[in-house]
Amino acid sequence: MAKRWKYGAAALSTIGVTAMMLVGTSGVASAAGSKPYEGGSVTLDFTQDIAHLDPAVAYDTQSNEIVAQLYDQLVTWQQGGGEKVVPMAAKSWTVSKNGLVYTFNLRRGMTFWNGDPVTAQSFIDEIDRVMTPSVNSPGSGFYTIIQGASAFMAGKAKTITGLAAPNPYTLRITLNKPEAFFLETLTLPFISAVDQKFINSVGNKVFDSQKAMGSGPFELSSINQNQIVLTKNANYWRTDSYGQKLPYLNKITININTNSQLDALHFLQGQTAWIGWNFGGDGIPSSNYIQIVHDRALQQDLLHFTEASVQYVGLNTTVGPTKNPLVRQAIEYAINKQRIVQLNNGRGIIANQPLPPMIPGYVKNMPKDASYSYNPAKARALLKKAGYTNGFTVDFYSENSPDQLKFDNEIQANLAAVGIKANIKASSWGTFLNVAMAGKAPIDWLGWFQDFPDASDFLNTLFNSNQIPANNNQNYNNPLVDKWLNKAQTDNNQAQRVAIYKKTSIQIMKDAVWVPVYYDQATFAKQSWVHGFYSPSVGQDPLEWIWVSPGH
Amino acid sequence: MGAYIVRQLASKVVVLLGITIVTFILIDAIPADPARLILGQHASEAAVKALRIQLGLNLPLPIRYLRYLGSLLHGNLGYSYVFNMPVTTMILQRMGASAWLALGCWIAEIIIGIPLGIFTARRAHGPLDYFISALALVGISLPVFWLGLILLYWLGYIHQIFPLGGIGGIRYLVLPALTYGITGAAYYQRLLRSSMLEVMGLDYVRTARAKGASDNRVVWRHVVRNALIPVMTYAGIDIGYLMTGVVLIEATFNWNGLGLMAYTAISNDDVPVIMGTVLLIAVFVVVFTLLVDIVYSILDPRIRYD
Repeated sequence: MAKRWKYGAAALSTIGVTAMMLVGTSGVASAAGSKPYEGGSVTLDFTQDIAHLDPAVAYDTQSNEIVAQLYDQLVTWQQGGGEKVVPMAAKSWTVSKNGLVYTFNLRRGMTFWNGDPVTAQSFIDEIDRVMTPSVNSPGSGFYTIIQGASAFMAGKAKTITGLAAPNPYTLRITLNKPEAFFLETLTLPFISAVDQKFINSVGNKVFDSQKAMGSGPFELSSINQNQIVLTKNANYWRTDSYGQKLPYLNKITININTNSQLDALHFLQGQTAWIGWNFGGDGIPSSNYIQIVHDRALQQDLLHFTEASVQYVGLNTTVGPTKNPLVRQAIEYAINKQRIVQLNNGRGIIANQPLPPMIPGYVKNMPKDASYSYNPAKARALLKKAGYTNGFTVDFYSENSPDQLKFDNEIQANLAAVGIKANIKASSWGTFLNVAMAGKAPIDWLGWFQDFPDASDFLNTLFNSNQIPANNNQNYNNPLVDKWLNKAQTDNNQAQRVAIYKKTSIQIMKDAVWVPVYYDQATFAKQSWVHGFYSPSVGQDPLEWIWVSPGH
Repeated sequence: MGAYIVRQLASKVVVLLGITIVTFILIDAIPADPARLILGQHASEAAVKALRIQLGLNLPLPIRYLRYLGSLLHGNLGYSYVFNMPVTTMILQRMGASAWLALGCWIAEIIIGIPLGIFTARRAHGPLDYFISALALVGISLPVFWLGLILLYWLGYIHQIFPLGGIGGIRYLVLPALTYGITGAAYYQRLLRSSMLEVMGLDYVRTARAKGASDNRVVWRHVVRNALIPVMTYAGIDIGYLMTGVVLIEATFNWNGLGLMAYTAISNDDVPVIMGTVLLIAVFVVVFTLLVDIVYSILDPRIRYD
């Protein structure tokens, strides 16, 4: 199961930018009405090493969390949750009528920690770096839509023609074709202001592993394999509604602790400020989950979120017996999603389509011919109709993390109940990914976490035939769906796009390409003296908004 | 002696070379793509392909190996695929912590294992011998992470005598060392017990007894000293192995040493780091085996290397 993309051990999995939506009680309430206290510090546990400090390279959850504290982007997400893009380094922006030219008016007076000014060139330098193959940016794919970016990447041009700085505080980005969600891709930390002079002095590798130079709320004070210390950037430009300067905290100490059970004890002992998904490791570890969520003293300080992510069983449309749509539909009926969520300590909402509920394009009422419920008898009937009276044997691929193996066993039992013998092929994340992303797995289990809250990031990336096989691992090729998806990519009419994505979701479910199993739910616990904590619906944890009661 | 050491060193270089070849082939057999792992699930196919070329992963295995060997001869272990850091730096950063932990674990094993070995040998086949030997066997069978967590929970969380994991001075070292000592002492105890029983039956011990030497004198002067030789061999290899990291202890006690680094490198398919740590382990084991050979000749005047 692709819980999240992390380097290392069993937790290694999906993606960097995690998105969550506030559904339960919120820690924000405790901060409301009182003026934040400036000062104090917090200690946190991370379960993984920080692999990257370079915003062009960082993409795994934990690295991204650090990078977001060190660097500023052009635009960002609204504070307090919600999915509105708001100004950051760019004070304002305009988009040309044809949707091709974005002009950003940058804030004056922003500086890097060393005093160098942040200008339009700071962003051009970074986009150049993202598109430079030797930097190895995992984000390059998001920005090939910029005019001349592909030619630059291929080494056919010295500069990216779509980038211009008519003056130091104006940045103009020209696209090849309109893209409705281009602004949202600019919230990703890939597009941060960087000090090229500094990078030249230390080199790309050191800039990624040991030294940082940003303009963000926190400065990198030290980093080694055991600990990262961030200290307040006293000259940070942002202020809160009281006119107080951000950030509030003087210091954040992050210890790299691989044993998540110890992390839970650290939290219970009051050593760490909170324990949760992003900042604070892998969330509340399964072994301590029940203990912590039922701890009476913590009830006020527990936060539950539904994430913008989906866990699914993929059914290959070109390999193995699942080629036959009837077989795929049979499997849709065979899998007991309720039971799988139970096995996950109840941390999940049963899914019935690829898009999570908070993403525009989600279909509230799935039509009957695109809905499936747990019904082994119907599954057997469909298999019979498909000509598999005696069932068949098939390979089922997944990662070999402990939680995943529980799900694998359940799926194996579900399939056996309708006459399908599934051989579980569970392996390390790397090995599994290699099979899955080559489109060779007949049936597999994967998860997908959004990069930004747009249906395109799910539907176009995972179901467009031009994404076969690396992302469209099921080799799904429906010309009708392709036509819709391609139109929605460049359409600037949001209502029209949402309608297209709804149609697409229904068609995908009719074709039974995936068995969407559940949407992830996460739980955080914080200390009562921590205020301003909220989990953003998209983007990284907002450490600059967090404050602590005096004395901490 | 000098000639012996030179000869040994030469043969060890061949061993090390063999180890690099075997490791390289084994890593290559893992059906994962380091480039995809580095860039992640969302990266475009074009980016993955470009990285594969940049890392030289598109080249045939022998060429890749020769390239690696070439830079190795220049003392360059390469850069970690994942961390963009020189492997040498990564190893050096963790070596101090690993050595400190190794020393603690090693001493704990010895101070628990050796006295128990002597005690049980002197009471061989008696009820106390059986009891202690059985207890030691239980120790071997205890999973390190289980015992470690129990100790952490009671002595770190409930009673707060020791810190809850992390790298540090003696206070930090006690629990991991104790855990390793309890689970590892039985090897020393059993080895020393059987070695002592063997020595006790030898002629010179009988002679010593016949001369009227006291039991204590016989045991301590004659038996223990000679019986320690096989234990020394084991202890030498043991410390060499411990130096390169004790994965489970490190993982349980949040001790970021070489063991955890090697472990994560394997799951990340981080070839340069895997190669670097395997080589390091090999070098340590080779060096300590050689040291043991030399110490032998000092301990036992009958052993001479010519």
